Order: sequence, then C-alpha cells, then structure tokens
Amino acid sequence: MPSRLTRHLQWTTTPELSGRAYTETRAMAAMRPQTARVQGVSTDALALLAAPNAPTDARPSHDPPLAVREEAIYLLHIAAEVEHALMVQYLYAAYSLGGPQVPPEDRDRVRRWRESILGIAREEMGHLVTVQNILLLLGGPLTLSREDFPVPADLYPFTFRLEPLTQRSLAKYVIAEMPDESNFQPGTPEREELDRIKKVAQLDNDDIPVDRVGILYQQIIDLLNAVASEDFDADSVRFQARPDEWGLGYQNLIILSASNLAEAQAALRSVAEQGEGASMDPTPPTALPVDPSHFGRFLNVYRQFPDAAGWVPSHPVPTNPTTASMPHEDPDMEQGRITNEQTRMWGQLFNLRYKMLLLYLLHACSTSGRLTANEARTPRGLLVSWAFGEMYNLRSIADILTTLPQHEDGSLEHVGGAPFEMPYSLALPDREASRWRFHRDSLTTSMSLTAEILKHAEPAHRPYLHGLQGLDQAAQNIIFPIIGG
Amino acid sequence: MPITRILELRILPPFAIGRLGSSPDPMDNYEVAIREDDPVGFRQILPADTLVVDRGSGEITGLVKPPRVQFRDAAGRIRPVSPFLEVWARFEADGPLLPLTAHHLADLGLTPADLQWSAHLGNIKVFRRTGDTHDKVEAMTGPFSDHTVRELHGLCDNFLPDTFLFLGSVQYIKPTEAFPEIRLRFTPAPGKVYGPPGPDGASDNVVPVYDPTRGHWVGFADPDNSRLSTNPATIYAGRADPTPGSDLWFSRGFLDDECDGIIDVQLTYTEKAAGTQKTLGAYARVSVGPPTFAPDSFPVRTVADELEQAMLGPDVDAPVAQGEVAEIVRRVIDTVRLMNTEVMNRPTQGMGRMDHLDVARAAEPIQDPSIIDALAIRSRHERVLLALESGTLAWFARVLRDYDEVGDLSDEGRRKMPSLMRGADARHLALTRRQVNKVRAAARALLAAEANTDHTEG
Repeated sequence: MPSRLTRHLQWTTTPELSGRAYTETRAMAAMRPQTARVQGVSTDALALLAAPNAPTDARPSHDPPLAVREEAIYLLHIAAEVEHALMVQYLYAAYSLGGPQVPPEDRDRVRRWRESILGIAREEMGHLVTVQNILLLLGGPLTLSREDFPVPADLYPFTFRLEPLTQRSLAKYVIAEMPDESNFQPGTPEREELDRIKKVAQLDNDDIPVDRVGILYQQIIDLLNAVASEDFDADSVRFQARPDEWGLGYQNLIILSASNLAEAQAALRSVAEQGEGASMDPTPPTALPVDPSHFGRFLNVYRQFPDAAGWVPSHPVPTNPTTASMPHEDPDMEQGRITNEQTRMWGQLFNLRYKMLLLYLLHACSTSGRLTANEARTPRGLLVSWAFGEMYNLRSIADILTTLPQHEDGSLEHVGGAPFEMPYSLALPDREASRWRFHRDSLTTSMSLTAEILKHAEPAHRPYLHGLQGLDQAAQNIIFPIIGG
Repeated sequence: MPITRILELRILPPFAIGRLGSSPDPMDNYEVAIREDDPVGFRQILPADTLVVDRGSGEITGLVKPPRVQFRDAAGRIRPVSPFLEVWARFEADGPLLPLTAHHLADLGLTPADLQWSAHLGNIKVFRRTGDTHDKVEAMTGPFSDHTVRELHGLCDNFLPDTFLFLGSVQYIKPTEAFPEIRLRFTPAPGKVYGPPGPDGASDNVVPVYDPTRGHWVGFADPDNSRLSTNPATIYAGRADPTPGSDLWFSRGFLDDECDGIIDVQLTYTEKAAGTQKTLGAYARVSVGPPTFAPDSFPVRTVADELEQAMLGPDVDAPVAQGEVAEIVRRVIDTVRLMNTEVMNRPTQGMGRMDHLDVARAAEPIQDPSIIDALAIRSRHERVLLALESGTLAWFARVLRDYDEVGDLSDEGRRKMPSLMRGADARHLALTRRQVNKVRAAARALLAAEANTDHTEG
C-alpha cells in the first residue's frame, strides 16, 4: 500500500516510461519480482531502471508535478525519511555487534566495525539535520517522520529492516552508498567484486535491486536552480542547526546551514558525496578505513566480515523487534515481537526516549539560536543538550536490551533489540508552552515506566534507572517555570 | 608478641592539608558518598567517626559520630580542619607499617616522652614577591615532648615590635589506654588579615603587624606585570598606578595567616640485641587552605591528581576501573555546577578576555552562545555521567584537551574540555596527562568489553 509520500512518487526517465507505471511496477515487483508485468513494462525494464547504476538517470518527482519550490520540499521530505531510515538501520546493525560468542582474537576487530558503523549512522543524522536546514531555508515544514512497520518497499534504497549485521545486510549497505558505477571499469577486479556484492544485496532484498541514494540529492540540487531567489529565507539561519552546536568536533560530521541557493546546493552536494566514495577503498583489512565515504567504510567491513559459516559477530537480536502486546498475524513480524515483559518495558522505554530525541530536535530547530536584545537566554541550548542526552540514552538502553531475553522463557538464545518504533505523532504544537507540556508529559511517562522497570530490574541496571529518574525530575523542574506550572 | 626493635618511622599522612577557621571547635570528620538512588545527583555528606581532643590534657576523650555535619559552630564561625599526624612504624624488615603505640614504646622500655616533635612553618608569600629575606614569616617550636598546646608564632624581621602572625598550633596528643597511638594534631590559624598600621591597614579587620619603615611590601608592585612569582601576576590587594599606560599594581601590604611547613618527629633508643643507640626520624608536610569550599564538590584537577601523576607517571598501563573515570566525570559536573558558563563565555570575561589581552586574539565567545546556558551545560554533563552508569563513555573521552594543546587558540582548540577554565600556566586548563590517559584507557576498555555488552564512544 502506498504511503503518504510514495503515493505521489514517480520516477521519470523517458516519456514512454511513466512515473505511475514505474511506481506500480516496483510495487508489483516487490510481490512477484520475477514475473511482474504491468502496463507493458517488463521486469527487464524495471531492473534497468532500478538497478543501482542504471544509465537511465531515473529521477524522482511528484505526480502530478508541483510548483518548483514545493517539489523541492517534497523531495527533501523523502530525503529526510531516507536518511532517517538509513540511520536507524545502521544504528541497529551497530548495536547488534558483540557478545560473548565473538572469539577473543576478533573482539578488537568487531569493536572497530561497530565504531565505523556508528560513525556512519552519526553522519546520517548529520545529513538528516542538514536536510532540515534546507527545509527551513525554503520555508518548508520540518519532518523527522519515518514510515513504520510494515514499511513500503518503494521509498527506500532497500527494504527497511532492523536486523543484526550479516554479510548479506552489509552488501545492501555497500550498494546503497555506492558511487556511480561508471567509476569502475567493466572487467576490473573492483567491478567484479561490486557485481558479486550486488548479487548478494539483491538476494537479501527480496530479489529487488538495491538503489543508490545519491540520485535523489542530484534531483533536488537541480530543482533548486529554478526556485525564486525570494523564496530562500536567509533569516532562517538563526533557526538552523549549526555544527558549533551539534558537531561535537567530529571531523566527518556534516551539519551545514545555508542562507542562499549556492550554500544550499553545496550542503546537499556534501551530503550526497559523503555517502558515495570516489573509488574502491584500498584500506588494508586490519586498519580503519582511510576512505571516509560511507561506501568505503562499509566495503571495508564487508571485506573483513566472516561468511555465514564462520563465527557470529552479533548478539542474537531479532529482526524488526516490536513491543506489541498482542501477537502479530504475520509470522515475520511475530518473530520480532519482544514477549518478555521486563524486556518489553525496556523496549518501550527505548521507544519513548527515541520520541523524546526527535521532539527535542524538532523543537530546537523551531527555536532561534541567537539571542535578541530582549532575551536573556534561549532554551535552544537546553534542547540541544537534552537531544544529546537522548542519543546517549538510546545507546545505553540498546546495549542493555542486548543482554535481556526476548521471550518469556528467559533464554538468552534470543535477546532483545532496540525497536525504534515511531510515536503516534511527531507534530510539534504551535504554541511554545504546549511544546514544553509535551516534553513534561514524556518525562512523566518515562518516570512511571522507569519505576515499573525498577521493580524487577537487575542490580547492574538500577543505578542507570535511578539516574534517569533523577535527571527526568530535574528536567521537569526546569520545564515547570517555562510553562508557568 | 612484644616488639624488640623499630626499623623505620613514618608520619601518615605524609602531606596534610588543613583549613583556616576561627572556631575553637575543629571540624568533625565526614564522608562524601554517592547516593545509590541518585547516582547523578549531588554527593551526600555523611558524618564519620571523629576523635575528640581535650586541649587541656591533650588526651583523646572519645570517638564519636556526630548526628549531623556542621561546618560552622553555633556562633557562625568556620570550624577549622585540624589534621592528625600519626606515627607509624615498621618492626620487621618485610613487615607492614603499623600505628606506633605507647605499648610498643613500653616494649622497648620507652615512654611517649621519648619522642621529640618539632614544627617549622612559615608564610613566605611576601618574600616571594619582594625577594627580601626579612619579609619571611616563620614559626619554629623547637623540640618538644609534652602535651601542651604549642602556638605557632610567625615572626618576621619587618614586623612591628612584639607582633607576630598567629599561624595556629600543634599539640602532641597524650596516649591513653583507650587511644594509645602516637599522634600530633595541627590546628590552623583563624583566618585573619594582617597588614600595616595607619591608613592602609585602618580597619577593624586588619591586625597591624607590618612595619612599612622596615620592609617594602606596602606600595610594592610586581615589576612589569612579572609572572615570576605568580601567574597571573599582581594577585594581591592593591591599587592601580594612576600613571597613564602603567600596568603597575601597588600592594596595600596585607598578609594572611595561611602557612605551610614541616612537622618532624625523632625517637632515640638503644636496641637491646645490638646494644647500639639508634635515632629514627620522620617528617610530614602540612599546608593550610582558605575557608572557601564546596564540601560536596571536588575540582576537576586537584593536587592529588598532580601527585598521582608525579608518583606514577603520565601513562596508564593497568586497566582503569570504570569508577575512577566516573569520579573524574563527576568532578567535571561538580565544577560546571559552580560555573556561570554563560557569563564566562562572554568575550569580555574569563578566558575569552585573557586570550584577547595576552595574545591579541579576536575577542570572541569560546563556545556557541546558544548552547552555553549554564543549565544546558550542566544537563549535558549529567547525561554523560548517566551514560557511564550504563557502561557508555559518551563523547567525553574524545574532546579532552591534551597537555600540549593549552595554547591552541583556534575555535576547535578553545572548545576542548575542560572549557572556559584557566590552568596554572594562565592558558586553557587541561586535565593531567594521567587523567586524560585514564579516561581514554577506560573508553578503549569499554569498547573492548565484549563479554557482556559492547559499547563505543562518541
């Protein structure tokens, strides 16, 4: 079923191949990839269009076409969803790494993989924030939304799936971040390696070819040329996220603000280029990647990763974990359901802090970061700090989840995983006090949930939970005067 | 079993820091603890067992745990921190150090009176600036073995006749059956201000001692803003030189009653087996700090950190306990809780101003003003500590300033941690190399801790 975004999405390459036909074709292909034939478009044509390095230059657009500024906003919304989806999948993959089954001699290597993938996820967050900045520049609504389960197949470079890191899942990440195939001459060892990885990726993606993400940005960059100069809101810079606030000095973290067309295009170009490296990574397998692109780093991990018959680098975390209280009808969804009540509450706590992170981020980008003459202070710094706090909390809780049983039997053969379930809404209220009431309420919910978890918490987790409660209470004490409560 | 010999004496602690206080009732002992139900909150101050001394007899009359910890007495006076210096001894070559008691002395046919103590303390702050040896203030007790209170009268050639700086007192505690240990107590001065008579010292708060006709402390100025004696220079009460363009700062001639020095103990006895007379000795250093304190907070870099580095070196070879790093992070929070980061970040204040004055760097805020709000900064650090509770050393290890980056005045360099603070070299503060290495070693250890969970930094 098409989602809000995808029901309007078309990919246009030639006049003969309409966007609608393409969209429907992909949907069909997701169901019956080998046999689909829709409106005379063969699966061969589909493969040509959707293949990672298809020479057709398929471009996404809205159906029907929108006014150019809004078209750009629409595609930026898609970009935000894609970056968000990539980020959580990479985070989940990184959190899954480790466990007592990792041979001692390989632990340092697994640690480096984890660092590497967490770094990529962090940079995807930078991309997501940069996209929000461009949305602010164009006067468009911010979005941190993301499709929830079941996720439509035709929006993302590959089917959204929270899964432990495997060689097959890595193959998808490599191909999704890959530069244009023309960089690699046919017949060269690099091209042959990429072809092999592509096959693995497609196999793991329900036999659907994995898309590249860069094409979306190219379309937006081109579109921006046609946006009227007066539609660029230079004053929005004071609301935009800045690397000084969010960067923490990470060298590869791209958080760019923009006050005009050139800066916006440069920012999007940087984002696109960070994903795709210019060449195959020559890094020797024992060292951290030299090539800073996501492609290069994923490829580096891929080359070192044990095959399916080798040792297992990941905790036995589920695929697509959920905290649903009732069984899913779909057996694939049901296998990911966390049924151990204590673990489920940890999963719910994770979801809640995930929501809090997204709302703090949205609120910060809706709050001016520069003081005016009448202001003594801005709460933006507080929101930024709290957003960072939630990033730390997500990592902490995700790690704890990998030590807890997924099911009621208490066995650690299957452990919990970070569910990353989306909240019912991410709409930020219009009025400032109401926004802070949202935060207050989330903190109240968290304290209640934490108190429940504490009743049966393991001793090792108690200090963390107590600390979380203490900081939540302190945060509420800061909020009360703001809302006049 | 009776002892037959003493091989070695020590005074423990070898370095004791007292605190000024005008109350006759010294500070009780207390412990500072982390609350299990609030691991990120303020530390708790808990009463601890305290020895009660009868200053008249010199005896310890009891060991009590006060119901609550009070830093001032009923009259509102600060209670001084008065450290005990205990004599420990080694009786066998490979044996442990043990507290020396009157019973041990009796085994050797000795009494507590056979120990000889002496104290030599001084305040040479004025001498350090003027270079005039007649400005040294020193108090020496000479040898003593009785248990009376010995006042420490700091004498100075440039003082008015019959005046002195009262630097506190020492008392050899009289061993009893209940408390037979050999120890001395040092009680610091009350915390008064001393100075010259006349207009400069004309205040009820200033005790006139300094003779401006003999010494040059009154009206003295550090030459050319010299940093030879202290860094920054001119940190004494004074007046600016009215001459246009002059940086000179003229002293008003004040002194305080802080001091430091050596406490020495000697024991001479005849070892029966060898038939030879032996003299054993030990000494300890004492120092005194001012009564400005936040008892539930600890500075991020302390003398203890310096001593640990001096003793063990800057590198950390052994595994670092997570608690050690948590303690460093907690001290960071202690510190930021006491800072008005928004004000300190202004280009006209703190290090931003110093960078401008010292090296003509552009006067700019150090951190992005939108995130420097004190509550925001505190929140952020508290959340780092919370992450550490779950085994994640978030962000912290990567942004620490290295010792050789204290003069890095780039935006990135000035934003490293600790931020907004000045070190003893007047440049941006860095933790000790050993502290930094501890945090980084712990981060690596957490990253490699695969057995239970796997964590990473950043």
